Amino acid sequence: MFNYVIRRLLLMIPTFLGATLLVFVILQMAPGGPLEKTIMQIQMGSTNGGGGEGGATSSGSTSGAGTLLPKRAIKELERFYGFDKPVWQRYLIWLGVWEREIKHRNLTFKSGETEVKKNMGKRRYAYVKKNGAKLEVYDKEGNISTLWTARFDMDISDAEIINFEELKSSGKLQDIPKLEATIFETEYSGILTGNLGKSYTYQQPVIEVMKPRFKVSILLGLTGLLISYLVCIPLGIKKALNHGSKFDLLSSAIIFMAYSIPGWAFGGVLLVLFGGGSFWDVFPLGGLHSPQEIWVNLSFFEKIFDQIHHAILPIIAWTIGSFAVLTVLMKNSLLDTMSQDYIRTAFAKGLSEKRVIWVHAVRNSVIPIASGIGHIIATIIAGSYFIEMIFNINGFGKMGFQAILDRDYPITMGFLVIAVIIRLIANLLSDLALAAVDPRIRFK
Amino acid sequence: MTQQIIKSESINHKRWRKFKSLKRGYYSFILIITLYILSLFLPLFINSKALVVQYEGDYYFPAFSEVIPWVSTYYDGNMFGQDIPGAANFRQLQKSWDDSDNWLIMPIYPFNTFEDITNNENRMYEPPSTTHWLGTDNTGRDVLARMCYAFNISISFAFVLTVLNFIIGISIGGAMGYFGGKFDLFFQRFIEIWSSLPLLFVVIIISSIIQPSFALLIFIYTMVNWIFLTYYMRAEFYREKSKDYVSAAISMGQSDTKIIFKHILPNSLIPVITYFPFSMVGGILVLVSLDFLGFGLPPPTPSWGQILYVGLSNITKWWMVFSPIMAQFFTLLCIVFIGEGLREAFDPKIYSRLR
Amino acid sequence: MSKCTIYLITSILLIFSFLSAEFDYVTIPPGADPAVSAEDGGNGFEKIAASLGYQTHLFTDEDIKFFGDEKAVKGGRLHDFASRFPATMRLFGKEANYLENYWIEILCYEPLLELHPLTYEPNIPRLASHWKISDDKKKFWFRINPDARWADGRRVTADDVVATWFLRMDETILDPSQQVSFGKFEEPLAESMYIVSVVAKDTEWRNFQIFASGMSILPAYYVDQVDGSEYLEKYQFSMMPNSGPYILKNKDIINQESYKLTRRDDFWAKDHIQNRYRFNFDAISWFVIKDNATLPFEKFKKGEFDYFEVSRSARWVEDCVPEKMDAIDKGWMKKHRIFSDKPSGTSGYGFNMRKFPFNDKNIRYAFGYLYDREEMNEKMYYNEYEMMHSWFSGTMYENFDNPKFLFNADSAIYYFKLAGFEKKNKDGILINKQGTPLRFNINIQKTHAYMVTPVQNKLRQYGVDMQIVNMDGTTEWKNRQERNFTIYMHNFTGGVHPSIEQWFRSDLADMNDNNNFFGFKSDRVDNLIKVYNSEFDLDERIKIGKEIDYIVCETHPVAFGIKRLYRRFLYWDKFGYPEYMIDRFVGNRESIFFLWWFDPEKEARLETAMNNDTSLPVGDVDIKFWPNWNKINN
Repeated sequence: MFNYVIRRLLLMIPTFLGATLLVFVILQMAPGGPLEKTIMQIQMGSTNGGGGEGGATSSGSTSGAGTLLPKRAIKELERFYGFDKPVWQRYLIWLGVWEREIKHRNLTFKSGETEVKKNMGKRRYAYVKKNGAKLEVYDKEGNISTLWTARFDMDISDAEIINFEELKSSGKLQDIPKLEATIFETEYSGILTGNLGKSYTYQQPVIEVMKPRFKVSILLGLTGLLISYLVCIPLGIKKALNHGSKFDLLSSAIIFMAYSIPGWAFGGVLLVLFGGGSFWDVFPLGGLHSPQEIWVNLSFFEKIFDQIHHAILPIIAWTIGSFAVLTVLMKNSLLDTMSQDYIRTAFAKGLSEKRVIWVHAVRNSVIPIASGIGHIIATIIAGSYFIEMIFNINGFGKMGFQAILDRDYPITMGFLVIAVIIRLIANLLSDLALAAVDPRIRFK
Repeated sequence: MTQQIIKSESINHKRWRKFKSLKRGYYSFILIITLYILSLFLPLFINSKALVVQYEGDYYFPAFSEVIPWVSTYYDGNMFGQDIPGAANFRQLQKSWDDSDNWLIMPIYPFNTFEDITNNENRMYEPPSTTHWLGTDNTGRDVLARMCYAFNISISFAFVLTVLNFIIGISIGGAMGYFGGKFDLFFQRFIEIWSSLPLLFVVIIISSIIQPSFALLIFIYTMVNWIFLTYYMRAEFYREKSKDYVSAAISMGQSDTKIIFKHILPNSLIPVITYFPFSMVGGILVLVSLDFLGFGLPPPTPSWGQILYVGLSNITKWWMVFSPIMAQFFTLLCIVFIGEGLREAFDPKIYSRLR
Repeated sequence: MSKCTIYLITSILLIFSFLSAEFDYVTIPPGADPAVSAEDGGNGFEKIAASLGYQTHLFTDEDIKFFGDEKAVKGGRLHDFASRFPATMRLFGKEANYLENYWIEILCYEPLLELHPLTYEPNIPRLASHWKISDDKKKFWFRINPDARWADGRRVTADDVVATWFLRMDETILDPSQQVSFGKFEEPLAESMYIVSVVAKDTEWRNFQIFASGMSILPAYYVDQVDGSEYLEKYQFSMMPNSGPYILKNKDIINQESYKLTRRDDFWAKDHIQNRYRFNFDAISWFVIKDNATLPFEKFKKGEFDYFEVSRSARWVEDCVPEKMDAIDKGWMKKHRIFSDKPSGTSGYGFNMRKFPFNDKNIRYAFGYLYDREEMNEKMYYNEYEMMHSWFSGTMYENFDNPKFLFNADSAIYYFKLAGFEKKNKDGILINKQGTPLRFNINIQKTHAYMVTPVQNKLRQYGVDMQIVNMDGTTEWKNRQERNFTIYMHNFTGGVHPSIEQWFRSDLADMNDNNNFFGFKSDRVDNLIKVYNSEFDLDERIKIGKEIDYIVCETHPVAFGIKRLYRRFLYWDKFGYPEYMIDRFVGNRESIFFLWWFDPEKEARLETAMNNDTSLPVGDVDIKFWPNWNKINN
């Protein structure tokens, strides 16, 4: 058993690398990435929000209508996002096993210059010397700088850089007035050093962005899960035991009806009906608790009440669809088990009905549910974009979806990392759960 | 050999009889199948093109052109002496021909899914009336017509998607559970990696390169959706394999194929069959959600999600919230009932009622 | 627990709250540093300013009324919502060019001079009390008001301006538009503690405005502590001491949920005549609601927000009516369309003139004649809009003699014929002599589909096949930048004094990644743009603008759409405001922040009315102060 767990844990490593690499490459290859988005934001200035409909300027900037960006600026942005490196290098940087370049600044070597003094902010200077196609950086004392690195940043070959003066005077590099270089700091920071990077849109470390959302998703998801299990397992059992009865038919009809309404659409309707804007003022209009300023002044019990008050509608919308799946699964599985020989035998042996059902039958019929639990947990963590959007809840789902739309790659990757890890662990747990309820399953 | 065929036929026959006896599922089945088959010929029922036109001695069948794929659906107004740009407006023709020898027969519901405010008769946000039974949407298109065409698209989408998912999911999941070992290990890794693909993102990326179409969406979703089935199939095969009858079969030296198809599969299929309706439902919901988010089929393709999107952003226009929710509700309910019936019919075991 | 402990804890908490207070305060009495001579901007400068060539603005009774209403009272908290939480609270740098950042900037920080609300000239003293422009119009001097103080009590000096310029020019702030704007200047020079001068690289009329009113100043002793990337990091969600009327406290930033600005009682210029009746709300707070079309409005109806700007006409005309909303019927909630001189921007369909079919002017014309915006306005937008006929719609540069493209089928058919499209194929699509059908794609975002499908249908009727391709915004933009499109939905805001070159300079036409999407080329326009940029006389510039407008309209790179010259507001009837309600050129919410106040009488009246279910007077919907003012004054 112990060995099995260890082996599974080790197997997670290639899975993890494979999954992240796959998504990383797709993200990097996708058109319209964060770079384009930033450029768009700058160039576009602001568009009218409502399209042709006259439009409110709820988005966009103030600079009237955009700026004409010089080519150089685009290159700088490219460098900032690391898009000047090949994909494999970017992945290694993301992992944290390759040097990450930060704080780029531009340098230029005019004709005849071999040394440039560069202001590095905070009244520090770097002295960059040209040595062939290489650049060396010295600090004020004349020591080789450990902090900064410099390189030429042009689309011409090393040989051309070395012989720049010569080629220029012979008229071959006429269109290049000066040599452009970059000076930057380096560091190792990536997933393996515990750095998931910094969100492009929230401008915060990914972990910071995720933390509060985790709480939300866990609160909603686990409550929802708990409620649906608490309802579905007994209901499924009762339905199986009374298979074909009026109760069975009626409850089936009800759960199927509930299943046939999309939860988020239902949530939207609930909100308009009970949110108090237009009809009855029973529940608050969205959010997971009162605004922070009110929230912090509430007593403990008021907080609990406030939380429940806010969570009722989202949880209804969240769970309404899941009842059917679980109940039917439970019911079928139990029916299945009940028809098996060992149950007959148990009855034949004269064991009491209660004992047969609860000890033998139910235990085994939980297997399909147990094997799905990993998947369910993973879904819960991933949150539900729709519900969160409709109820204005800042959960995991909304964050993930928004990150994809906003091309916020650090968040997308961070989301993925968390999701993959959770799924891997959940899978392991569901396999273990399977073994726990079914003694016939052995792990080698 | 012959014996086996007869035997299997009789099983299917029995199943069908059993299914027929379950009224709820059976009637739902009849209803959905009928509606679906009818919906394949929707242009004959809901269309702004006439079924039959008799104009100056010649007969035309414009509505039928939409059912036959290789025929051009375009009928110019000038063809029928109508002085309008572009395609003929048959409803107008019908009015203007009141006292002439020319005549035409319109379909039962004479609107199509694309006519919007640019057509003089249409206005936006018209509440339900005798002309537009379910009102019109934000560009003046008839909601009922769009709902019906969307029904056809939704069902087709979900059905194709589910069948593909099942074929792939069952074979891979079953094989994993049965063979175990390295095979299982490899596919588990593969599935773990594969299922971590952010699906929505893939849709967004692909749709930014190619125009999303029916086939493309099916393809993308099949790529990822088969996975959930493997979990259950794998667990089922695991469980069945450890049962005595399988051990017995193995010790008797039966081939893997025989054990899988004859012994394990029929037994393992039951919980999976119950998933068929749910998976269909899932497929319909996927399309609704995608269309709702704007990453589904390109406009102006009719779709429930798109109508719901318009409805939920104009919540006071209740018919656009109500209609897609009800249509979805009704369709999904029927499918679930069918699935319920199917499951019981396919069940080889006879449940013993206790006592 | 004894009382003692409680006191102890409270005092510790108090000490901590002081320690964690925003800044480290000092107290310096108002007035200039006595060590600085009058010539250098110290005490007595005002007297000799004119002789040194400096000027300042003298307020008259006529223009002072556009700086708020003297009935204004301070107090209350304005509840507003935002559709996103700002990625940063900085004024500039990466991700800071959003409207939310701009509001923080104009409410918390100050530029040297402010734009006059009536003329839009940069001549209202803020941090600078006087200024001077050299004869060649390239060098500017500013004299900092010696009374100016940062929020921590320290003096605002000329060095702050220099430091701010340096930080804005640091490429590691990753905001190239800053370097584009401020790179137009040489390094500013602090000539003394209070005098700062700067030289522009070119002679352009815009330069003075950019430097004087486009650059909010930050304190040098904070700016000097950081380089660009550290600035991004450190001031993401915290502020350097500011000098303006509001302050953003760290505790009021609740990430992803809300943020709040608080009015400063110690604002150094609060008694200045231009500020006395402005900045009335004690606090302005924004609650964040993302991607949700219904929730903000529901919350407004419930009273959680004080005012609401309605952007969709359907909601305005169908839902916000007395019959459906009791509050409007009873006059508790006021409903106004407030007109102003805010440019309407340019909208419509932009063509790629580089490729088939829109490389042919006739096809562009035909499209213009088939784009039935009047019908759409009537049937979809409740006649809420007007037709746009100019690139500079709603500004003084608009040329009213432009050719007008309104729906006209005969003209469209005529131009199709000129382009060689006469016959239709069996699918009813126009074809030319080579048999090429008139078919193209338009890339749009899903949310805009409803605006395009009627156009698509109309075109289809006349034999043009426009296929809609759904795309997310970024991808659509990327395709447009790479000129990989045929037609797109054009929709941009405009400036009061528009920047023209980015759209129409010929050399941009053959390059990617700029705003000349159309591939517009014209030697005449190139020359005009050069003159436009360096012409200081407004009337001359208007003439040039009008000529450009005519050429553009004639070339027809865009089939113009609809325009709106007003903003639609709903608000609970508890506000006081000047008769013009919003500033002439600003024309939107910022004016509410600046000019409105909570009127205690109205608040009481509203409360009584709501409690007793009685009605309040309902006023006119349309507020046309500015159109009327223009009629009288021009």
